Amino acid sequence: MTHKIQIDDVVRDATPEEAAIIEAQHAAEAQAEADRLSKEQARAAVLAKLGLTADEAAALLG
Amino acid sequence: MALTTFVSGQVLTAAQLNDSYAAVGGLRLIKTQTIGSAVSSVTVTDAFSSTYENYKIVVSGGTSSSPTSYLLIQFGAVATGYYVGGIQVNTGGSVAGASQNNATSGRVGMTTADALAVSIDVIGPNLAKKTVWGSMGTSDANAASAIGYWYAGSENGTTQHTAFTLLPGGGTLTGGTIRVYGYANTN
Repeated sequence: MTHKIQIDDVVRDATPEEAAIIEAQHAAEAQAEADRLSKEQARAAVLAKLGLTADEAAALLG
Repeated sequence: MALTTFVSGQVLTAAQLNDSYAAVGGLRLIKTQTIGSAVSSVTVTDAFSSTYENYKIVVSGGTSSSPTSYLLIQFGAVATGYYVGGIQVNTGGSVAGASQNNATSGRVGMTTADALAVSIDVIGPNLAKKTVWGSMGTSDANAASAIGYWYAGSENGTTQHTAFTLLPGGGTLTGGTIRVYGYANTN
């Protein structure tokens, strides 16, 4: 994929090295977001099994 | 430097005007940068200097091709040593923590499809100390993303920065404006 990078008002195509860095950054952030969503879904599943809302669980734990 | 109180008929000299300007606190607009079309990163040069110690960066308008991605910042050419802790409040009020440990860039916000909306306070980017920021904003209102977020982070090197780069964690940015303000050092 071609990436465009902007420096002040100048927009140009990223070099292969710059594009590789951007791709790696995107992959790392996608993984981080997937991990966050996975944790959130696991938490929601546990609460659903217990029949509790997040607020009720928080109240129980004090 | 003193703020002069003028009376009717008094002559205002250039020196008095300059001194009064320097004595007034508040935010001073340093630079406005329009974001181009479908760019993967935007670097703003000459943003930081010894004139101001602390800064505010406001990103508004524009769109993202990948809403709910993180919006990241790099200071100068430094691509290591970014540490972030933050919270994201999601649809329904659930709260999620967010953190980064020695990352290649730091999270300052999230991208949205309708408009970028991030406010970042940056402490000491041009000092030979670590650069610290606090940011807040909102993202798209869907179940998979944060409705509101608050991040605090640092770039732990001692490089004196003059520039920064904003880059989405996925997709590209189009349009919108980045404004950089300096907090006046005077009272």
